[in-house]
Amino acid sequence: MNSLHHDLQELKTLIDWRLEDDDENSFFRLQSAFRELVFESAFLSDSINAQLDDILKRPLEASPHWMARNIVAIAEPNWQLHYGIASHTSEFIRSNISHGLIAVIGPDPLIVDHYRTSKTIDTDVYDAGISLLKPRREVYEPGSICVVDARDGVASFIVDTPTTLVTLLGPPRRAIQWIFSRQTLRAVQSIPSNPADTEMAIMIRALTAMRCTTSIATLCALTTHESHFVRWTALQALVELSPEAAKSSLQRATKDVHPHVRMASAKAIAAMAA
Amino acid sequence: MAIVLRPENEDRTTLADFLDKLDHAIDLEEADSLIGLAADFRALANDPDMLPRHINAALKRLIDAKQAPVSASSIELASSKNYSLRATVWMPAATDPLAPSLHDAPCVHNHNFNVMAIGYFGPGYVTDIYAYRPNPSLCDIGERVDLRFLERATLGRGDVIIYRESIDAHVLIPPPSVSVSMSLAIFRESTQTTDQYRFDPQSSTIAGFGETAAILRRASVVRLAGEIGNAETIPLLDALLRRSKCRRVREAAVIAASRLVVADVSDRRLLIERGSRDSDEWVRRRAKSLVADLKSSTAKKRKTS
Repeated sequence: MNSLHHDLQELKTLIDWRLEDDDENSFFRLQSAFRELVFESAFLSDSINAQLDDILKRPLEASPHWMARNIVAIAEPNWQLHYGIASHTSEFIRSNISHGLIAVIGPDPLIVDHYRTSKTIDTDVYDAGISLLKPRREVYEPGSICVVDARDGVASFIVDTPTTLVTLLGPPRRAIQWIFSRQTLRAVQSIPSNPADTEMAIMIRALTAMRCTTSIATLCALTTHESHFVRWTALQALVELSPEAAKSSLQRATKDVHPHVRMASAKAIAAMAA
Repeated sequence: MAIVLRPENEDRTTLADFLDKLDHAIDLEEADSLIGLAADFRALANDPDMLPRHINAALKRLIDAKQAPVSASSIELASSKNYSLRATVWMPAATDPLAPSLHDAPCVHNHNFNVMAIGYFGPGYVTDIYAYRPNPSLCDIGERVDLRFLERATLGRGDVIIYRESIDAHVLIPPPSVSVSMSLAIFRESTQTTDQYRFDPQSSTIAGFGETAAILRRASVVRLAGEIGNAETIPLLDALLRRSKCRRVREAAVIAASRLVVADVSDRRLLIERGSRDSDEWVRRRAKSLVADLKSSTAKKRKTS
């Protein structure tokens, strides 16, 4: 596997240093260093040539960095950089989980619809009543950088003809990602923004369905997990598997930071009492 | 067609014993050799504590690691260069944030490896099984292929279905309630160079490619070189065109050369012309059309200048 390109290594040092800062705007201060890496260094051509060389040397080995249409150059817990071909417009509009800097390589420009929302979605509380307002369309020519501020509405890419992009993403900011219908612009679903949270919740559901009482200790630990999806799924599992063990956790959950967990735990306590 | 079995076996076996048997009993080249392992697979699935133990351990690992797992709703039980044994949790289709996402509508697909699945818990997923007859010259999106619906099956507890590489296609329909299955995928060299397709059963056409297949990802990397490579990329593409045994890689090398405007046009043309003499009809066809495009764009440029 290829080692980290020296120019990317330099950027990594800078990003790690910048993101130590609690100030969210620190991410946007990376723009000039990012521009330098993408447009003024040999990083992209060197990296792709190294990948081709790897394919020649190891024709039957697949790299975990290869995705369907892009290559993950680096994936750190707090940020990642990938490059590849944007080939189609997604069916749904998704909220931006993290801040992003998207460098347009070309050959075609990148068209971005910037939506504002009827109420803020910079929250972990899903509200099906929220919708997107009419977008402002911007065209980013090759050589330019599209800045996505995840606090400020939703940026959605429109791809009529495939074009190459380099994307730098910051840390995930919210526990949920909102999904909107492209036709009606209404919110249709929310999903955990971290795939590990979805994974945990699915495993908890499986353990509950299989009536696995040996997992009670793990489930109790998960009732204080940082994701409200996971906390609530663990609480539901405890109610099913061990109502006695669930009582103190449910009681604590009535003061949870997330309103849906508070509401649902109060309902569960009432149902258990009845 | 896919092999649907209901092995009668009430015995139980451990994961270690099953893997030992697997190492000795499987002929990697023969999907039918999985049939001989079906009763042992059933014995493994008969242990009701085995998967809860693994899921619990996987949860603990996720809590400790605080990082995303490799693949969604699937837990690796064992793997080697030649196989992967995984458990998969199937969520019912419902208005549930954990149900399959709106954008992931079930689609008919085949696999580029042999795989044997067994129902472990719950009613199990329903699957519509199709027979697909591969044709090397029909391999692009929109091309009409020989795809025939055969039957609908359910992977209930203890049921086994063997999906054979390439020729068995199916679509998975979420179960009515939470279900868990195990699958044993057998890999061989050809897994790296065989396409995985998504099909449109209404029109019997290729609707897309399997996005997790190594062949697609490798070819995408080569294709991307046409957008961000430099003059030094041409010899690498040329070497891939000469040496790669995978026609998708050779096709991607030809396309990348046609797109690499920073490189010398005569070098690019030479490479594409070599592609038009490739051993594979599909690569030849693609290269010939690119040579024609290149000629017409050069002629246009001459005219305007």
